[in-house]
Amino acid sequence: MLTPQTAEKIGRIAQAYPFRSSALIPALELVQRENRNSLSDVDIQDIAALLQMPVGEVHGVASFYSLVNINKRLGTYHIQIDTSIPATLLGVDTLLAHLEHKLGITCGQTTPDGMFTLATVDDLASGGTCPVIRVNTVYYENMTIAKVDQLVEALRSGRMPDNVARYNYESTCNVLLKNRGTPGASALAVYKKGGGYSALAKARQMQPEAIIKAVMDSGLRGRGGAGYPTGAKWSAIPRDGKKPVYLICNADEGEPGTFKDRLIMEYDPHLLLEGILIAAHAIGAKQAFICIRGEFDWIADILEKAKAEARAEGLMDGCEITIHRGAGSYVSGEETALIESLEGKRGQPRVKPPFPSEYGLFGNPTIVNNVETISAVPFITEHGAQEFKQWGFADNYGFKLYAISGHVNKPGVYEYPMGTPFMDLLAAAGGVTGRLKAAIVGGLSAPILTADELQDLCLDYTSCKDHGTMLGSRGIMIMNQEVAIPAVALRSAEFYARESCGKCTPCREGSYIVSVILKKIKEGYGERRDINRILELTGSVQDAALCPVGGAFAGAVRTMVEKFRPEFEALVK
Amino acid sequence: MHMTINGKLCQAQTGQTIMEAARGHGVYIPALCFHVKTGIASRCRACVVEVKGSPGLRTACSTAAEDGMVITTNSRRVLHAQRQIIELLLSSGIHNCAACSRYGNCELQDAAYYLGIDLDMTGPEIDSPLVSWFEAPYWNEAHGLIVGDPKRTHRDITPDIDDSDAAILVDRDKCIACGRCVEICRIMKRNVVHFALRGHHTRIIFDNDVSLAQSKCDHCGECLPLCPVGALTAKQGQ
Repeated sequence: MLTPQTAEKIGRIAQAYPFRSSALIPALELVQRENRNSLSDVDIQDIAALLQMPVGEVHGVASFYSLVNINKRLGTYHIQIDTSIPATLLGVDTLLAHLEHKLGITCGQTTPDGMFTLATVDDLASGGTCPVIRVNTVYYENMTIAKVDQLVEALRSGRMPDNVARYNYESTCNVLLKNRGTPGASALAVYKKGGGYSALAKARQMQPEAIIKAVMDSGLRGRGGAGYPTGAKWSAIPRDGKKPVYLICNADEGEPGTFKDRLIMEYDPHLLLEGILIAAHAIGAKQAFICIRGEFDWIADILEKAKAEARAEGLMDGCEITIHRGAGSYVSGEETALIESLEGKRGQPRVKPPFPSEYGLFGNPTIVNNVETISAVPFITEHGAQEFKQWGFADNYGFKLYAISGHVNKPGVYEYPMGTPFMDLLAAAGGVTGRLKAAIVGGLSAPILTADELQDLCLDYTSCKDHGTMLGSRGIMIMNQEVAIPAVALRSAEFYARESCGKCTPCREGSYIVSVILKKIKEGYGERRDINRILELTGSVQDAALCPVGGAFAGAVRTMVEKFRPEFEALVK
Repeated sequence: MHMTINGKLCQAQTGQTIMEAARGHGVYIPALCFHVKTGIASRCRACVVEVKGSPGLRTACSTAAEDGMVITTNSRRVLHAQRQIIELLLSSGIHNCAACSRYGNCELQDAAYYLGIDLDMTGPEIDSPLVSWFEAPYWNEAHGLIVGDPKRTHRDITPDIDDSDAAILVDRDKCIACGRCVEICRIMKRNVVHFALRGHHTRIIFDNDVSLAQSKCDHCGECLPLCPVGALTAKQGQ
């Protein structure tokens, strides 16, 4: 039931967007929060009526996203356990078993007293501090059995304890992580004291074309995963002023193993805001959106606070920034799916071409850039393209954030130049615990590499491609000799099956069947031909899928099976 | 303008897609989601073809025809990919042709025959390189892994049929999520049928996920001839 106050709130939210429908997902989350985190049928009807959308469409959108619950009975404390690859590598299954035993329920159930609901969730973008548990909207990182027990005790007494975590980070380039260690760095005054917003002042004096040229000359490539040249993307925006231009900052950080954008947003939000304002000026956007994943509640709050500070200082004149929270969908991190989601629809990718620069948000020219990409723009604006090129080499320039997780001594985020040898970065992260067996270097969607292949790998686009993998999102997951690859393959396939948007046949059905076959193999029912079936299937999915996610799932799982085939064969009859 | 399709020179018009150009020359490409009334969807992926110069396969429905394009719709690679797609669709539902009112008038069946997939349902003789729908194991939340039951597919055990409505029968086990019904319902401004959930669990719903009889469907009937399979059919005899 929508109260008049809620209805009014939703109305106000809707005004921040070009069209009313964009307020749908924020509305769903708002109403849900007021009703023990679940929407009733009446809620859906009321929201549909308020936003003047068909009720079936609202139900269809609501049911698409993981963070939106329809007619669910959730306990006071919704305990969500991250079962990503980094978490799996660090023993989350043991923690899960312990919790199930302690609470007397299995995953998916609620305790009879209505206190606790137990659930597993996909990657929470916390690889460096795994195992991670999200209770309602709060992250609890670096969890151990002892900490789990303490957490449950605190919750039982009605108290949400503080999160105590150990974050490792290091910077040799000193740009993106420049303010990471400075106390109070997220405050505008501190940011300015360190030279912040001088790049924006300079940019406002420059012609937009000059800024685009600088970015083009710098060779900056998208830091999301696709690595498309940013300057080229920006110059595709029409400058005839016929349609409004939009800038979308992709802060979805959904690629498993990746947890670097959150660092910038959490500890240096003004760096991102400055980058957005410069980019908006360059492409002629009067409105920018930061589409941040829904699980990053507290980080969205930090961004709102920074935005308010910047606005009070008059820094945001000429560009309105709206922070839009996601609702739980990995695929919605793909740029066209992100746009669909922002329009208030199911987050499914569009066919490309046309590209967003031609037909983006509500059909208008749109640029979608990753947080890290945009955060590099102030440096390039202030110091010029040549300065940026002091790191790296042709096609692979600049400073980069690398997120390392799994079997290393110091999992965390490392700012190093492009082209850093993998072994050097591994050493920076304290070296592998145990003996190196394999690693995935570009986020889960990058093909796995064996220890031999990793020896001479350099972390840049070219070297990664030569080694048959991709630099991707630089979510580096390290595996030691104790890891059973079939278990990793199963967890990966299950992730993609759960996150598949369902639009195209090969990914929708292929990911499901592959995860079932892998489960069959793991449970001991596997047959010899199942292995070939997986290889066949993943081959077709790669060929025929609509969006890169299908190809990513297929490539990731197939290389695991191909390169570690004996381990799979040992499990089948 | 001119294109080459399967080695033959064909004429095409600017603004046409590969699919339209091919159809104009009597070349069959399976197309389960595209329809002239609902437009391009690019969901089923059954229309993938080879375009010389492009590394991957491209969907014929959504790729513009260009002068000088060289297209192959019947290479080993194309037919293999198309076959896998049809097999994925067949194994994700309960497709019992002999008992279906769309027998002989079904686009999925046509595609299967074109690709040499044997739809004889009399026994688990099918040796497809994929999981055949007879032997497909599936994970049932309540019972765990269910393996190799000849009568089962890898969907849940209970058939998903909505028999509530007087005029239209809904059989979700046959639905291939093509989206034509959703789109035509939107075009007709009824906005009753929509997609819900995601991934393998994607299904069509009516209004707030109520039965068809309870929904605001007013039986305009536009969806019925558009459904490529037997998911939405007119009830006989009433």
